[in-house]
Amino acid sequence: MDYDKKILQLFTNELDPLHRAELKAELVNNEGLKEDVKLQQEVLYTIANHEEDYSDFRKQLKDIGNEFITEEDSKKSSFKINYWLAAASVVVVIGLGSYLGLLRDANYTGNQAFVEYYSPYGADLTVRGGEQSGSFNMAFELYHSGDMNNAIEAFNELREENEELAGFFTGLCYLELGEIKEAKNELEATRNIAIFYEEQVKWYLALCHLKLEEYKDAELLLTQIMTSNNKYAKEAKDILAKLDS
Amino acid sequence: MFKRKYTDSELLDAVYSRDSKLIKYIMQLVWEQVSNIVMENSGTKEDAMQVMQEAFIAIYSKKEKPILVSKFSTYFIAICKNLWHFELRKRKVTPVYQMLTDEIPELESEIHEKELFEKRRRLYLKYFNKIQKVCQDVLRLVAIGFTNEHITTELAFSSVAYTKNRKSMCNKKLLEMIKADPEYKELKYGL
Repeated sequence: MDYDKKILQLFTNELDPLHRAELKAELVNNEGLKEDVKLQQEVLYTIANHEEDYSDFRKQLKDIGNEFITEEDSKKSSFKINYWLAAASVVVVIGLGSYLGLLRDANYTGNQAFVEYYSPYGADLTVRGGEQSGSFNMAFELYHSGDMNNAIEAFNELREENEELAGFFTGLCYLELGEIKEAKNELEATRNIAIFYEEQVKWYLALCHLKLEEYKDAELLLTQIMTSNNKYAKEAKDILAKLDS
Repeated sequence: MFKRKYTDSELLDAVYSRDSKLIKYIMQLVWEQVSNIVMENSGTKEDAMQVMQEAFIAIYSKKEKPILVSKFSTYFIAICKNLWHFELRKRKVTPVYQMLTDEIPELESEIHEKELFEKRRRLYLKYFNKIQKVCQDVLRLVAIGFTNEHITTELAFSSVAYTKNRKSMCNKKLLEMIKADPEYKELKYGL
């Protein structure tokens, strides 16, 4: 009998009730088996709790991380939606005119969807300080303040170091400027490399397609978003339903 | 307006040389994205920081310096994302050694024999580090509670049957090596 296998199966809960009962019964009087069970348990415990020993580097990273977080906490200022975001976005103004015009139309259009569902990204973004992060700070501050042209330039300078972040925010800047084709191009390019902003890139790209009335592309993206259950899934579902009706 | 501060190669080198200034710079470079994915996927700011630190360790512990085929930030963020997803999967399972406490003596009581257990632990790890890398990966996943199906997916094995077989063989090999060590015979009386 392969006891090693059975013992491991006991721990991984793969033994059927009969074999489990047999093994338990045998455990009572078989000292060797008892010892093997204990050994298996300790080995599994050891492996599960084993970390590569880089304790000095871990300590260094922890110190750097604490310093980083402390700086962030002390200097961050919660970003509230600025007036520029809420009130006078060029896109919204342009879109609103169309929207109002289209209210008389029974068909729900991409432009209408854009107006209804577009909102600027980053209401809860934070602005961080610190010597090293000057360029990041400045780019975000420009974006937050509504200075889109300079923000585009600033994010462009960060492209070499963090192309996903730069591409995503540049796309958002173009959206705010109402340059939808530019926004679409930027977000399409970023989508290919997006890891962390994948969901957001897809969402804003879908809105670009809607605004440009590229329905097939929009529908494809919205369907992907809807099925991925991310935070935009409900909106995507709503838009698809409205476009279908 | 801004100038690029460091090349990708400089950033990668900084991890290996453990350059505090550049490590902090890398944190600033990727924090926005790392915290975003972690905090939008059931994590906290502390989790995000932990993941980022583990990513540094993951790179640093590589025996050969990786050849970057993307931007350093993309590479680093991809590691963070994988680490976080792995952590989420880990949180869904229970380590196997915690099971069966009603059927066998409590491990905790043994751990109080710290000195002896520490010696045995080192012995187990000595042989764990000697078995094949794939066996280490399999047993690590078994130990933290992954099912055969999860291990098959995680390690891209061809089938669950293969995983079961591999798991059993790896475990047997490890236990044989431990038992064959003369030191085990001395230490096992502490069991």
